[in-house]
Formats: sequence, C-alpha cells, structure tokens
Amino acid sequence: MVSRPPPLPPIRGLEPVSLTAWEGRVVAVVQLQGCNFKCPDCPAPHLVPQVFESGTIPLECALDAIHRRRRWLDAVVVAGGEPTLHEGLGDLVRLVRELGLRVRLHTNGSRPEELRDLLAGGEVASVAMTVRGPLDPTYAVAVGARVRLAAVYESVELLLRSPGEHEFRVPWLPRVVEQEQMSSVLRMLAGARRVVLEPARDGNPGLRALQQVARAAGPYVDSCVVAGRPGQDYGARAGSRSVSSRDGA
Amino acid sequence: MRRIALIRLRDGETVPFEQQRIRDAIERALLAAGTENRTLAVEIASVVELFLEKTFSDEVPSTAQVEDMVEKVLMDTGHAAAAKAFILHRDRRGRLRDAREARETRFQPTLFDHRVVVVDDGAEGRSAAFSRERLARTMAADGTVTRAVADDVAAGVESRLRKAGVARAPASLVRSLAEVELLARDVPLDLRRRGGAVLPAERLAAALYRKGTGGPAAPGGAPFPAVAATELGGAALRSHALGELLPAEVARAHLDGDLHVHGLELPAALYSAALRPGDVAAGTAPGCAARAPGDAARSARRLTASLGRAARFVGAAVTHDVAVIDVPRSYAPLLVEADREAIQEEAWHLLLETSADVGGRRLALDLTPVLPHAPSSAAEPHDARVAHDVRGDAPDRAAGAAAAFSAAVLRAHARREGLPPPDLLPVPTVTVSDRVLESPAARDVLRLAAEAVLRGSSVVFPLERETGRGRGDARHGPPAAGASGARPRGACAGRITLNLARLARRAGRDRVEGFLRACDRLVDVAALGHSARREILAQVAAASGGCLAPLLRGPRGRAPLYDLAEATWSFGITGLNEAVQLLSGFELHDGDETVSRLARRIVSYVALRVKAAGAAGDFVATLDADEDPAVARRLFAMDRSEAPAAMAERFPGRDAFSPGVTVRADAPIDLLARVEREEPLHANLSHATLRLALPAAEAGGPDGIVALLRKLLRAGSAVRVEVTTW
Repeated sequence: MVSRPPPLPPIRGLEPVSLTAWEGRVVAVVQLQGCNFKCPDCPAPHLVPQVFESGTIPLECALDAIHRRRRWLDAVVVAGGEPTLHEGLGDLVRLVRELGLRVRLHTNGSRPEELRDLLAGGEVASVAMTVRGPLDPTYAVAVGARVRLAAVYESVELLLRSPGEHEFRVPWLPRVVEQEQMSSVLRMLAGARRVVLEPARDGNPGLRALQQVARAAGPYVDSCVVAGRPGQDYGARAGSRSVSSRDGA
Repeated sequence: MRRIALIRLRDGETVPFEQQRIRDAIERALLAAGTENRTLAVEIASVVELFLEKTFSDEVPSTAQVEDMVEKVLMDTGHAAAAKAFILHRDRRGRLRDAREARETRFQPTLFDHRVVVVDDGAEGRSAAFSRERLARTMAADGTVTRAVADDVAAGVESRLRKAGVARAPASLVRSLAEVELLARDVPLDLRRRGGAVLPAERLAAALYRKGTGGPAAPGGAPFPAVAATELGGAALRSHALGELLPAEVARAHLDGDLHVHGLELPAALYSAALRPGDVAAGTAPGCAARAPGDAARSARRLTASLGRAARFVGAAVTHDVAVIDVPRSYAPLLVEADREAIQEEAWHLLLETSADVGGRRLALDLTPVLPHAPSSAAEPHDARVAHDVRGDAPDRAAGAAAAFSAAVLRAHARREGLPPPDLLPVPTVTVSDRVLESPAARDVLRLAAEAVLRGSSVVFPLERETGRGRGDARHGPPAAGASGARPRGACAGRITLNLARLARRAGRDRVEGFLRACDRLVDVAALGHSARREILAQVAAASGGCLAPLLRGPRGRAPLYDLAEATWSFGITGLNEAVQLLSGFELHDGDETVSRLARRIVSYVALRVKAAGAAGDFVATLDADEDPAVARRLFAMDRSEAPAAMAERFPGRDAFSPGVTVRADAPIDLLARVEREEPLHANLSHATLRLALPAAEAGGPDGIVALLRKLLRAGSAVRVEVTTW
C-alpha cells in the first residue's frame, strides 16, 4: 500500500523581496499559516490561527513569482507562523531548492524533530530561531502558550552543533523579561555564530539598554548585533571593531 | 484805432483778449496795497486797454507786454504800492513757471536738438541719437538685405518713431520696428533669429524679488543677488543662443518642445567633465599656480587646496556635472604616514574645499578605494608614484591609507559637522565591482557608503563589470571618453534631449514604425545642433584667452586637460514611459513582456540611429537617459500647451513626464519590479541611473544595500545606482 504524501503547506503570504529577512541577502519571504505560540508581541498575529478562512496563495503562483525573479534573489525565507507544524514543509523546501535558490527557515524551535530532519537532509542552508527569554517559566508567559522547554533547548543545541549557518533572534519583551534575564539568554546561546537582539516594539526599554546587554554578554557569541544598529557588532569575532566585515554570499 | 481782440500766450498760442482778467489783476494788486476799490480797478484797466490799443494797433500783444503795460499805468497813476505788489506777484509766478519748465524738460533729449530721438541701449548701458545711417549699415552688414532695402527700412523706422512723437526709445523697440518694416517689404527673414536677448520685466522682478516660483533657487531659500544675476544672465544668453547661434531648425524644435538643448545659458561651455587630483599634480588643471608639476601635491593639504580651486575653474566652464575621480588613489601616497586624526582632518578639508558655492552645482566625489594589484592606466608622474606605492614596496600600506581616507570622507560626509549644508556637499560615488566586493577593505568602504545612505545621504554607486562597457562609461557620470587614459581626457561637450512622448503622441496608438521614423528625423535635427555647437566650442577654444582656453589648450606647453576632438556628444531621451503608454496603451510597469520588449526596441533603435548620426557628423555620439526632472516638466508643459485635451485625458493629474527611461515614480510596484523594468533598458545607454528609494527600516542595514548592489552588478545591466532611504 502506497501512503499518500503529506499535503504541501498553505502559503498565506508572499513578500516578493526583502532585504531584512536574511541580512546581507536579497530574499523572498514565504509565510505559512498557523503557529503553536501566541506571543503577545507577535509581528504577524494573522498567521497564528491554524484554521484559516481568508484563503491562501496557490503554490504554483508563489513558485512562479519566485521563479520569475530568481536571478535577483539569493534565497527564499520560509517563515510563519511556525513552518515546522506542516508535514509537507520538506517538500516545499525541495521545490524551492529546485529553483536554484537557497532556503532559510524561521522557527520558534518548539519542534526539534522536524528541525533535525531538515538539517540532516541538507535542504536548509540557514535557520533563524527566535528565543523569547530564559528557559524558565517566564518563557510560557513570553510566548503566550504552554511550551516544552526541553524542546526549545534541544533546538538550540541542535543549531549550535550544526555546521550550517544559523541566527538566534532574541526579542526583548518589556515587563516580562528583565535585563539580567536577557543576559542569561545570551549565556545560554554561548557559541552561537550570530545573535540579533531586537528591541521592544514600543521602544521601551530602548536601544541603549539593549546595547548594554550586548556589550556585557556579546563575547559569548561570535557575532552579536542589535537590530537597527547593524554597523556595531559586540560579538567575540568582531572584537573591538565597530564595523564588522562579512563575506558576501 | 483798433480794439485789442487777441493776446499771445507764452507758448505762442493766441487767445481772445479778456479785459476782465486785467481788471481782476489790478483789483488784487490794489487790495494787496490796502485799497479795496473796484471802481478804481475798472478805471485803471480801461486806461491800460487804451494804451494797449495805441501801442499795439497793428500787432497782437504778448502776455508779458500786457503785464508791462499794467505796471507802467499803475506807476504813472500814482499807485506805487499796488505796482510793487503786482511786480512781486509777477516775479513769483515767473519763477514758479521756470521751475516747472525745468522739471518737465529734465528728461528731454539733450544730445542734439529737441527733434532728436534718443535710443537707449540697456544691455550696453549707454544712449545714442537714432541714426538712420547706422541702422541701415548694420542691417546691410548682416547680408540678409541689400543696402537699398536697408536704407528704406531705416527710413521707415525713423518715420514711425517721429509719428509716435517719442523722445526716447529702447533699442529693443527699434529692433522690433525694423522687423516690422522688413516684414512689410516681404523680406524673407526668420524673425525669431532677429530677436535680441530681451527679458520681460516680470521675469526680472521674479528673479530679483523672488516673486512667484520663478526666482533663483538658492540653498536655504535666501534671495542671493548673485544667483539672480546668474539666472538672468543665463536667460539672456539662452535667448541669444536660440536666436543667433543655433540653426533655425534646432532652435525651432527646442522652442516647440520636440527636444531640449541643454546648456543654452552657457553656449560656450562643456556639458560635463571629470577632473583628477592627478591633473592638479601634473599641472594640467586650471587655476593651479604651481611653477612645476608636482608642486601642488607635496602635501595632502596643498593638494586639497589646489584641487578645490581647479574644480571651481572647471565648474565655471561646465554646465552640468563635474566629477572628481580617483581621489583615494591620489591621496594614498600623501597619507601613508598619517595617523587616524590627521586623515580625518584631511577628509574634512577635502569636503570643505569641494563643496559647491551658493547657487552652484554639486561635485561628484569618487571615493572608490584603491585595490591592491589593480592595473593602473595612469602614466602621469603623480599617478606613477601612487602606482609604485600600491604595487611595489608597500602595497598594503598605500591601499590601507586610501581605504582609510575614503572611510574618513564618508564618515565626515555623514556627520556633516562644520561643513556646508547637505545640498552643497559633494555627492560621494563608490564604484561597485567584483574586485571591490572581494577586497575586505574595499567592502568596508562600500558598507560605510551604505551607512551614509541610511543616515540620509545620497550616494551614487557606479557598477563596473569585468566585461562589457569600459570603466569611463560607468563611473564618472556623463561619459568622458578615455577617462583613465594617459592622453588628454575628453568630456561630454553637449547634450540634446529628445522628447519621445511628443513623437509617440503625434504618431498615434500602435504606430510604432511611424514613431521610429519621427525619431530618425529628430535625431538628425539634434545632430545638426551638436555640429553647430561644436563649431562654437572650436572657435572659443581657438581664441587666445577664450574662456575654454585653460581647459582645451595646455598651460605653458603642457598637455591640455580635455581634448575637444575626443569629446562625446550626448543624445538624451526622456519620457519613454509615456511614449510606451501612448503607443501601446500600457505603462512600463503595468504591461506584460510585450511592453518591455517595445521599450527595449525603442531604446535600441534610437541608440543605433544615434551611433549612425555620430558617424555621419564625425563626432562621438552617446545615447543617455536624461534624468533631469526640470526637462521632463518643461517638455510636458510644452505638450500640454500643444494638445491640452489629449494630454489631460492621457495623463490626468500629471505635470511632468517620467524622466529618462524610468517607471512612473508613483507606480504601484515593488522594488524588484521597478528594477526589472528599468535596468534592461540601460544595456543600450551610456549614462543612466537606477534610482532606488528604500524605507530605512526595510533596507536591511548596510549589508542589505550592499547585497542589492551585488545583485545588480551580477544580474543586471544597470550602469549606475543611486540609493536613498526615507
């Protein structure tokens, strides 16, 4: 008996060009519907419900749009929601790879098994994982849902051990995560190749506090930057230089 | 004895004699003397009339003679006090009359007699009596009319002036009257070419007092008198160039809006030029007082001062763009030993010295870092020193100093501390090439340029590909032939822009072949204009002490800075988006591949025609995108005045064409779609700029901008990219 292949994930949004989703690269962003977190500061709350009513973008249309622009694109970023919720994610990644483009995955790290499979297959060139706080009960508040902390930790370890490119995004949730806790998050990510600290959406605490965190804990990681201040790298690799130089794609 | 019937007034007119007026005058005199007696006044007036009848029986007495008689009778009849009052009154009236006459005759002609008509020549600042002979001689000297006709016309002009009764006339009026007389005699003459450079009073007032929107555009909005003078002088020269210098066909096409001739306000100037600090060191740049080559480049500070002066000299002989190129390469050997603070100081001075003057044009400052082992085409002594430093003993140190200097200039440009306003600072340009992207130091400079963009500066990134078009085309704006060669560089000598939208409107929907034929004709007209301009420039260059002599003739036996024979002549195009819309019904951004193909076909066809026109006219012709919004606005206005209904229907709410080959500015498309539509068109253009405006938050930081530039370099045909953020 031949098992039926999993359905391809529903595409809810397509950003034809982005310069911010993968720093230093021109990418298209594919957004998938559904997330297992309900973060209070979610930048795309419309993607959170796993049952969607307002329709999707046909996969053929999305791939055709990407194909037509493939000479301008370095990669495609698959984001959500939470992409690893979809069983057909691997197939989607392979379809994009067939266009000759690399793939970056944006994940919240709650499903390390799926992440391991993708990394093992070598289909994903880069993973960006969002870490919303220290791995303690605060995390459930920060993501607005019950969360298996061991799974998040496993994902972090998986990425740290993986030879591929990765990036940890650490948003600062005001009134939920304190400054000391932010430092402990960075210590947990020790050995990471790149960490991006994201300020609170309302600007409080501001960039200065975030820079203090980066300055104190930055040496644990290779590269530590504050979103909005890309020229300043507080990581160990950058050392005392104010401007880091990165290799081109 | 005959009664007095008439009296002659002072102006010679005779009027009826009125005894009542004499009675009144005597009564007032008696009253002034203290005697109020009307009967006595009547009696004395009768005596005066009697004596007048006796004295002037055969002639008409004058007013003065009547008054003399009143005085005499008053004295003889014993009314001395009344006589005195009358005499005083008469004297006061006389002085008032003299003063009034003096005031009224103050502006009357004084050169000759009162019949002379004075002609005021405001442009020359002098007046002269109208001379029929001189006017006839001038007209005959033109060779357009015979002497007999000229004499006839001059007589007609004088007759008109006399009939009008004017005492003074402006020279422009005399010229106009001469044209009317010529027209009346059916003389085959293009009247527009006879017109002088006359500016309407409203235009002058607008420039001087900044009335309306026609005032001079000065930074900060202050009404600088020098800016007004430049603008008004340019307007007069533009009028002269259209009337006298350019062929009538070209002038007519410009005035009608079929094309736009650039630089009419400075007919004897180049369009654009590039200058190297090495030119200063070699002594070929103007304005450098160094006695021997190299004197001006003994220190970075000296080089900066001389470079600023040379740039101002070149800027005075160029109507549009002046680029200072190879800056880091020239400064590198002078800064190898300098510490960080000294380099920052020199960078600040360079920005200060190369900033534009009020109302002037901004320079382009090439800050592309020196690449180790870069093949150097320089053969001049100064560049040879640099090349030695870069390739010889200390390549890393020289390249490092060059990169540090570029970075310092970009940082100072972004900070702007102690520098002129941003709209006067030079525009940084940093070339993007594979070798720049591969070199860590050069890439850091590129990232700094991107950071400057994120801080609000406008930076131009020429794209230099390993194969394909040469370095000189892409890097330094309007093409400067042989820009990196040892021989004298050329410059872009002139530009004439074709109004593609006008031709498309006249051709009509789907009539592409007719449109292309119209392009043929317009290219020929533009070539005619370039040929005429070339003759003007050749004359100016050949003239000893002419304004272009310092640039086109080497000082003190040295090689000239530019060679007119190698200068390029630019054919600009504008309004391609609207031309495509008029031909196909779709704009560049909303059509399918057919529309893109049509746009590419138009550009490649015109490029071919331009090349052929250059070959036929024996000059180097280039096809460029004219991105000047003022030109696009002017040509749109001309079209609107020619066909208001059609233009309003096709382009509602618009006031300008899309400049050059760009997609409409407010087109509802994303960044890549804009790039996809515009950059293929650059393949056939020598100079075009892809303008990308990004939201600062979505620019992805300097790395995002660098990534975009890298993609454009490797995947597209774009020549130059200008990135701004908002």
